[in-house]
Amino acid sequence: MIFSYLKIILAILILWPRGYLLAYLIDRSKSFGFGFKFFVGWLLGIAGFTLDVFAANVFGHQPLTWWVFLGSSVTQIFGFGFMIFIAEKKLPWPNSKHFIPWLKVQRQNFKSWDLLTKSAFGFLVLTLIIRVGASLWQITYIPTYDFDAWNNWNLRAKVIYTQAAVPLDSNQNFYLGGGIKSYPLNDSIFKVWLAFAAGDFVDRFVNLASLIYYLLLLAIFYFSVPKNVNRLFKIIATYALSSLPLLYFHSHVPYADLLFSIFLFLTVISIFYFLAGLGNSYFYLSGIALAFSIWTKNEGLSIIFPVMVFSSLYLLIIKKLRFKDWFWHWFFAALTIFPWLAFRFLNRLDILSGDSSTFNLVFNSQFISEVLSSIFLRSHFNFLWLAVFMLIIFGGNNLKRSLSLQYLTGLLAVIFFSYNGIIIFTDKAYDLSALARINMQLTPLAVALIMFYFHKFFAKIKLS
Amino acid sequence: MINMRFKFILFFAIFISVFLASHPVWAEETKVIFDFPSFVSGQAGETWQIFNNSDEGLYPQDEGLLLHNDGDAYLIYNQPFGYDQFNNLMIELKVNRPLVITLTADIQTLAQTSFEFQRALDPSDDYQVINFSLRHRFFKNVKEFGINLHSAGASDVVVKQIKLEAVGAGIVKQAVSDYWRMAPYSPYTVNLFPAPLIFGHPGFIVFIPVLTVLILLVIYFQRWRKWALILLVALWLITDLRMAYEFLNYHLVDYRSYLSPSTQVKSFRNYGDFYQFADWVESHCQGFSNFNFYSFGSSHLPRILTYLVYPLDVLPSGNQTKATVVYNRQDIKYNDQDSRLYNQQGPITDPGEIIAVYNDDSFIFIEQ
Repeated sequence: MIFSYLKIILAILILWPRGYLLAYLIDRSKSFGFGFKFFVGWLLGIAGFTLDVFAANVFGHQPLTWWVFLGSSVTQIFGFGFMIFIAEKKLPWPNSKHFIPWLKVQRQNFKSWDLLTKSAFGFLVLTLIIRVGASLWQITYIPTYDFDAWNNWNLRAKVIYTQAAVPLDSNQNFYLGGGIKSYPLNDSIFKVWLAFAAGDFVDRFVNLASLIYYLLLLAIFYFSVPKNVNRLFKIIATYALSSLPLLYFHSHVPYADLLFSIFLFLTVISIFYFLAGLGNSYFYLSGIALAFSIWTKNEGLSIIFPVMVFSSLYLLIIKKLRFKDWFWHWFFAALTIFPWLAFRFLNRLDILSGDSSTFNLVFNSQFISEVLSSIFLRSHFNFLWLAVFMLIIFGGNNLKRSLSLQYLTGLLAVIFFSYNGIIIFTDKAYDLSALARINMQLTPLAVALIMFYFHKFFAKIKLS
Repeated sequence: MINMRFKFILFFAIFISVFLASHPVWAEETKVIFDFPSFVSGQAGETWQIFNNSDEGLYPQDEGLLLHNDGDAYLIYNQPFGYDQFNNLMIELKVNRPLVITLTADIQTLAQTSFEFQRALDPSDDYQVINFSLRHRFFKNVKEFGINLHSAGASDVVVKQIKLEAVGAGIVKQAVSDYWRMAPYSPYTVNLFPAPLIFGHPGFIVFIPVLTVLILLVIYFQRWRKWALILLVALWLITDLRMAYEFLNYHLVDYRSYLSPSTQVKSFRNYGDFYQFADWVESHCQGFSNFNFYSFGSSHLPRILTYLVYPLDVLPSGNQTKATVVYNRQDIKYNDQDSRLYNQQGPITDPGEIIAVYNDDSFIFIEQ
């Protein structure tokens, strides 16, 4: 068993270099910090890898063997490395001589923190150890239980793993792995890779994916925050995110919502950083993250994509964007997601979540109290959404002073009302089962909004 | 700023008034509604009814009244009241088998209950006291309520006393106690939690006014901003602690019901022994690639089995294939005369044999 875990760790590690190089390549304005590149790279590595595996199998007709997996994990190292070399005439090789001095600097930095910040950080780490330990216990000992896991996400992974291919016969039960065929395959193919590395499709190994997503989300959130933001705010915000009950719960639920929430966060927050003047690189990263959100869940294509198209057009019209940047942003996003969108189009997969989707406008007045209760009262999100709404209602005037915060608030509001509007005003909400989960996808952005609001308008608060 | 402060103080005053108006303070009062003397005098006989039990009599025993419970009896109290009158129900009883007591408001009409009105009781020679807080929306005005006495098989329940009480103090204690009461794990927990409740309402309803005041302080009152922020963090910590406790409780339930017991008795959440059954099917279905599946219980079982035993293909019942797997179907029997499986409509297979038995109603059948 320990050997299997070691193999899984190696399988995850091997996806990092290609992702890091992609993050490095995107960062032409040299805006990303090392920690941000490090963890965003991992995320991009996972998603790029699964998309390459999919393309190799579906378009290249290659069965899923070691060659395809290893090829998909390393070939882009050369591709991205070459492009970096063209741009910079050098390669970002790791230099072991820099490692010890770097560690010393980090240690020195930590020593310079005040006692309150150190205590908050210690508390964050301690609570994370407890949470991760509890999730690990669940994943290790409790079999796959939740509906969409055995009906879709894990079923598809198991079928693809067993057949060593994505089943393409649409007349068969297990077309594209079974379940709802329009669901994208990012999460499932990552689980195939974990099973392949472990040597067998076992729940305790493949369900580790959710815990990896949880940790990646927290790390990306923490390291995405610019250095000028009060470190204590940053730590408290990361703790707040880590402790959101439903979000934490999904660290041991084998669904794809958590993975999707990371891409959604990156898509929107990157444009926020771009508007805040942190560099063009963020604008390009946003496009790539949007592309991978489409590769992760259908909300990416049906809701986030149109919202981002309109918001980028708006920024273009008000001259916050140059046309050249706008064009390349969408070009690289389209290039990234092309294999999946082409496949969807050719095979006429539905855009919406169900396979036989209807989309009629109705008024589900009976759902309103449940929607309000789920978002505000049930402790799914602690008091996050209450705080966001009160901040906007009572402190909305302040937002006039910051375009980037206006953008973040506006996007959050548009996506929030789109999500919940679909539940209240269409016949897509069969049983409200997705209600809390779709609002969960927005929580990293909501936490970020509160943190940046405080930073922008109340940064002079000294808590120590 | 003055204008805003005025608005804030006005808002705060209105909130406090509304809050206090909706929380009356009771005088201490008690009403014994069930005990031996009241039955002897005949007073209680008209207000109580025994339901869903073959023996509708009560027999004196140990200063109380004995009920021979078939396993699912109800005691129904048919006098109306509201929680403004009585906000606590005290039951003093003893049982000879493990028992689950459930209180149901308006049992003959709306039948409203929840996990807050359920208590498990271990057998004991001494009387045990159980309290149910009635300060709950189900008991705002009830016409009657029922006490369900559920045991696995017949049990003897001796009730010494049942009292309705108006408890003046202890609202805060009750609110805290309600807030920390754990809901049982629900199969829908991946989508929504059974929120922590206070008096039958989501606990956050109580927090909203406090939260509003604190956020207003943060936004408009620089002087109090620091302390308001600290209190907001504290409020967040309380919810975090509460929900962490809930998760811990889920883990404990899984440990006690699924991990710790032996294979024969372990039960996995709301699917009972189905996961053990799936393992058993996988190990006994060597040599064929698919089977018809007949099951009883959750409609999810065929899809769960599809995932658990893949690449074995689980077919809907009635397909043309040699193997048939049956799970907990009392209506499907093997007929020795013609070696076929029958349900109530007639034969469902060609002749064959049962090759493995999981339990009396679950087995694997192969056609010749």
